[in-house]
Amino acid sequence: MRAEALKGHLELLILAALQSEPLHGYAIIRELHRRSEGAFDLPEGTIYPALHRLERSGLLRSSWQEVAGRKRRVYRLTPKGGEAFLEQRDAWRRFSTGITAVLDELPQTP
Amino acid sequence: MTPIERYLAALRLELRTGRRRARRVVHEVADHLREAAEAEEASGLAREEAEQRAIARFGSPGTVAARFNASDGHGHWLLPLRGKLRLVVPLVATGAGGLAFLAYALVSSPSYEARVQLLVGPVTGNIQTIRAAGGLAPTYAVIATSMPVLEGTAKTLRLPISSISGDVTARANRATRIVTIRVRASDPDTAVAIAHGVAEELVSLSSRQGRPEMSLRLVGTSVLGSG
Repeated sequence: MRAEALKGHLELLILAALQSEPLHGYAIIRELHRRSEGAFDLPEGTIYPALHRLERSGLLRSSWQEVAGRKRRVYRLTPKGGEAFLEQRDAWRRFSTGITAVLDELPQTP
Repeated sequence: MTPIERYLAALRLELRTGRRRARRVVHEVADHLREAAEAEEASGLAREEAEQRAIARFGSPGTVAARFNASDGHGHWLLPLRGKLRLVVPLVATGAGGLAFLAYALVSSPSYEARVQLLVGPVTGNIQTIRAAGGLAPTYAVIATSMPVLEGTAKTLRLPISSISGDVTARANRATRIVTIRVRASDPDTAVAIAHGVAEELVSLSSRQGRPEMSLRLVGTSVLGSG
């Protein structure tokens, strides 16, 4: 997937990465790299403004935590964030199914 | 100063988020860059190179700061969009064609605005120079949206001229000697890139003149948007 296409869905991807456990920014990026098999190639810095935005809209909560002698800002999903994830994921699935259906109707290009 | 320290200093300068939030941003970014640099080091790079690699992956201070600044700018971007919607609503009333147009207008309307501010003339200097510089500010604003500058910008960014010409505006203030270049685009990176491109064209034009009152310097970048 190209960076442009990924960018619009960054928030959904972040919510997805935080499904199983709270993580700090660097770990979220590693998780997105791993899950997308390297296709996630946005400038890594763009994740932080997105995290802050999600926190301000109440979908995430964050706190400083000391890990291995280093203070880290760790993010976790709020209940509202969990709901938003399910909602956005379903919307994305409907959208991608729709697009796939349209593409499959088109004559195949070599 | 290590590359990471230099990066953090540059980032701090570009942040327009208020002191408390800026401290948190810088702390978080520092933590990220150190961890990323350690990972690069572990894969065999020298420390200096490892830090540079971590920084390259992170994005330039201007781009990253602009995104933080943008998320503080709610309210501003809504005004032009509301204006646009008001125009669209009567069209919608005309039927299904109107509905398609509304969808198109929403998808295509640029919702980010990058602003670059340039100071004309020296920061301090004798009164004649300062006055002459103030007088030149409106000239620079006109030049900013002129064809040669837009063409130069489009060429540098490898964008078609049509995709940038309608979205660049510039205004000048004689008293403050500030020229503000505004660029609207559908994504923040493009808006910032075009605004910087125009600014660089102007700066390179001005530096060829070699006169203090004609000099230009970048004093700020910001981007407002919905992203």
